[in-house]
Amino acid sequence: MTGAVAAINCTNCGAGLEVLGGGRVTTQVCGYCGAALDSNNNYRVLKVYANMERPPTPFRLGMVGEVEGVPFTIIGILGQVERYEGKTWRWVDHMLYSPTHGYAWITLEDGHTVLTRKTRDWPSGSFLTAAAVERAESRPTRNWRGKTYTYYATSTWTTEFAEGEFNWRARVGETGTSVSTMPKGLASDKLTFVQRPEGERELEVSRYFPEAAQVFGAEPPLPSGVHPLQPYVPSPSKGFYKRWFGGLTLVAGAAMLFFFTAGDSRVVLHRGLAAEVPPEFTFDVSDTTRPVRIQLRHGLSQAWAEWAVEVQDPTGAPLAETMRGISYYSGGSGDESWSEGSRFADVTFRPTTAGTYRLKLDMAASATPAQAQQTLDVTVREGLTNGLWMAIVAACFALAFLAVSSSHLMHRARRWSGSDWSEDDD
Amino acid sequence: MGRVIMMAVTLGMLGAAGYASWFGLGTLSRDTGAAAVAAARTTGRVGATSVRSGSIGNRSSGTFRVK
Repeated sequence: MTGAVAAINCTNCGAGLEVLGGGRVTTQVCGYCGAALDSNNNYRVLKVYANMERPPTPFRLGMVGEVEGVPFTIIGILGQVERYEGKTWRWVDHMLYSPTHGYAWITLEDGHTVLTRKTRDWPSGSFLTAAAVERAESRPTRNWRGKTYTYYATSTWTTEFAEGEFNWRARVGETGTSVSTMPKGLASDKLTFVQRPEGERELEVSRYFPEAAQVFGAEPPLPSGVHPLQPYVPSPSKGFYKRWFGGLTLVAGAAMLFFFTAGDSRVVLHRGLAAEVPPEFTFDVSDTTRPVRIQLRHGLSQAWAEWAVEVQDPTGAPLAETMRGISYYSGGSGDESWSEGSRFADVTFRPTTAGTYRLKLDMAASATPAQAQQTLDVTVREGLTNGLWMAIVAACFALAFLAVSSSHLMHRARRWSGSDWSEDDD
Repeated sequence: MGRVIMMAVTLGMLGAAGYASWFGLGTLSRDTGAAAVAAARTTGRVGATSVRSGSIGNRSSGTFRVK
């Protein structure tokens, strides 16, 4: 049959069908009427699968493409489905045939294409079944060709569409179980243990094959998400973005430190006992573009106090007539200690004009002696900056830098995100 | 093009953060300014004669002098 294309007429509907597969083909499913024909018995009708819904795929029967230097022809298409806990996964298997290299598969799933071949080179250890996975207390592994393959997922699939030629009795409604394993490191290949209801066991090796559409002349599918077998390919811009966000993080971090410390030239208005606070302070402000902060530090312990604060600008206009509470409590037992409140309070205002400002502080004249005899520091600081904003953007840039730098790790995590091995199992 | 837009956006973020940090945005006390003083005087909730002090336990007691 090599070098020649044979054709038959469907014995159910009479449609012309090409015969593309080799001598091991046992079943041909008519793409027009859905009749499954016995290739080894004059194409008698085995069963008719009417009204099958054709799965979306850019590949067609008869397409020829070169895979690893060998011409293969697409001879069969299977639509597969898996349903589990209300979720549905669909993929399309395309059977390939080469007169010299036998059979292989191209699987299309979420726009990704994977090349699969059977192997008789079984790994060490027993065949990995779904039941063995259920019994396992940690992720099962198998060693194959010098690599350790770790359990990824179990899939119980059902065939819902068939067309073309197959080297077994392919039928709609056929079910099977596949247990897949992959190396933990870089994406390379997948080892799948396939078990059919009849008990037949097969071992398949798959690798990512994104050029499938190109080599078969099909319209390239649009991949979505990250496929478990998809190798990490760094973006050409990764180096630039890494340097860019790294540089921005350093600049923003340095600026943040500057703003948190810039202009920290406090003027001390009072440092002494709270009872000795003068009725009025004056201080000069020259920078009217940035806020002014008056800070109180009352050395209370196990007590609280409230201070009335009045601020007037050089014209006598009030800028603040308000209250500030200060409280500080602490305690402990053994090695444990606690504290609550703060000995600090402040009033921050925007200066209206340059000149001499007035500040009045008043604690109750009848305040308890214990509080009045505590120390009180009153300071004023003009040209106030706020490094919080620069800290926020520095954090954003640092996150972007980390995201770019760890993109390969995130890619690996996404590859394994479809694994059905839960943390509880681990 | 995308790279240029990203550079412009991030530099804009850096510039905006620099402006906000330099001019101390977000540091003003909400009860300062002429409007806040006028509002406080209207409600009478705060003022120079509204003073409290106190402590806990047996060490001392407090005094309240509120408008």
